[in-house]
Amino acid sequence: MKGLYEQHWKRAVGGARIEPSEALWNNIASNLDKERGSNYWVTLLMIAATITIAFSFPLTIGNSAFEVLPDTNQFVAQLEANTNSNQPANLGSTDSPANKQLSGSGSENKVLNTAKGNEESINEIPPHTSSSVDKNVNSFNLIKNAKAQNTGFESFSWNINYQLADLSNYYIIPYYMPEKIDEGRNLLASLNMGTGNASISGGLFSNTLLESDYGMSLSNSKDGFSNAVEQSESTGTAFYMGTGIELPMGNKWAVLTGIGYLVQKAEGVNNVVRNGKNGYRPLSIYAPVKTGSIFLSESYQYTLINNYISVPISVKYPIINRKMKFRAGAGISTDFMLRHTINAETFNKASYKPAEVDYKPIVLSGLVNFDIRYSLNKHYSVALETGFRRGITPIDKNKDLYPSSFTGGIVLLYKIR
Amino acid sequence: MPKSNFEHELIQKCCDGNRAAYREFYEFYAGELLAIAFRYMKTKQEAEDVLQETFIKAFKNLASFNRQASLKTWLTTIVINTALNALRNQHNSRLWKISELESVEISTLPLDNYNYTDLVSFIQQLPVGCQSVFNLYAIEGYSHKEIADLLSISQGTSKSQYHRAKMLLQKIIVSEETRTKQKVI
Repeated sequence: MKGLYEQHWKRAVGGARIEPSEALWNNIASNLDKERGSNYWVTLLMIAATITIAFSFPLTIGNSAFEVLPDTNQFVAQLEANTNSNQPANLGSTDSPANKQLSGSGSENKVLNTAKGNEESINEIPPHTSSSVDKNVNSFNLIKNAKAQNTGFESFSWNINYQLADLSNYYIIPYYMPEKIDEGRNLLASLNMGTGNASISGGLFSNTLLESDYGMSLSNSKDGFSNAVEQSESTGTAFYMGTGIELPMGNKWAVLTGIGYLVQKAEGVNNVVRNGKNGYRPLSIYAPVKTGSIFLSESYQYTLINNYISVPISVKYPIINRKMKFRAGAGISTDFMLRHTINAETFNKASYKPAEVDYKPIVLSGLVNFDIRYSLNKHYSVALETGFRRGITPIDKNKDLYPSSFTGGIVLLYKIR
Repeated sequence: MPKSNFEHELIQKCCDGNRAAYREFYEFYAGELLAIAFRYMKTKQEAEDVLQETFIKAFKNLASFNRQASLKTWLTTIVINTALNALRNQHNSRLWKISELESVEISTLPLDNYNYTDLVSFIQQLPVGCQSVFNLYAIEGYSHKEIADLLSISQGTSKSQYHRAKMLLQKIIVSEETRTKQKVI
């Protein structure tokens, strides 16, 4: 407390008001317009950068190249040893007429059949199937014209652990929880879709082939004939729809949580078949392969779908905090797997619960995201969001498989307080 | 509407880029802030320059304002700092060059005889350094330690400048009273 002297002065001149001139506000408004103009350019640049990131990463970082093609020499050696011990005739001999035909132009298309104890060593596949070899890349592509016969398909109860255990390619499917923050408590409704490259089935198919027959990694060439599996995958897709709430923490930070339904989908092509009782058939992804029943035939398309209930929680911080806001955030998502579905045109759709496959029923993922939000009015806002998501725990029980994705989405917000 | 709610909503609207809210914000606080700036400067034009800079700073940093704190206190701090910066840039050499004053008895001040404009004009007649220290200590309620930190001077300098300000004001007021009496006679 100051003395009486100071109190007199404070009482006499403190708390007074002086009316400023009208020109003063005009000067201030003019300066604000200049400031705002420069910020709009910064915001526009950030929008452009965000869009660029959202759409370019899936194309450039996605694991588009299959890296699961195995050491073929190892396979051939094993194949020869195995075949010679069982049926030394024909298959083990490079001089056999059949192998010569196989390594030739492919005018007569053959496939290997190493059935244990079978009477024939080579089966012909339908004559309207042709083959081609690309030696430069040591890969083999079958150009399929024939339709695999589709009768008598059997379901198998073979343990799928081996198949999933060697799923060595992590895959990128863009799925990501879009969230949005505003000051106050906001209800969120989010809709998010994205694209990206997916390599889900490469390791799965190749190991299905070999684990059952030779305990190795893939079949391939013998005397120029490559009976490698053809497999390719198109761009994967993902869809997310959810709701949530954000709560402010201080003036800038906010925490978000919610719940959503997440669908991951990847499509691919494979040509692995098995020799069923009634003819050649596509090999079921999770079906066992009997020794000696490996065939390469026409390609067929398949679709893998993973469904999750996703519970993300994250925090966000504003980098630009105006009517149009730009914010960065980070968090963690707990995803509960509902089911895993396989669908192919040449065999029936099969759906598996998490306990039936080697995917983990609960996985954790880290989230990093950016969003740009625009306030429509007092209550409603809309946000564009992009981000990166990567698994913290592997999705497979036996393999370090960490999905990662880039994607973008839209979020609608309603301020409840 | 409680003032705190009014302030909160006004800040939010400004943060949302609402131009009308900017104007409302300005209208609400400009008069009081201009009066503060006027006490530190010598003319109204200088005070308005300070006020303009104050509002631009405030609008630019409004989003980072701690809403648990007092907005008026925050704005007052900005206007005082802006005024002091302006004074430093203008007349750095004038700040502390004060001639020795003859001892003046500081007794009861007849402040009630003067209106606000007169009193502020008395303050504005002080040398810049004394004027700042006087405003900060007597009107704003800063301690000498706070003033020393704010102006980058020692506490002793702050105290001596304040003492000189008081003596100068006493002298100004006495001379003003003498002049008034002579007019009456």
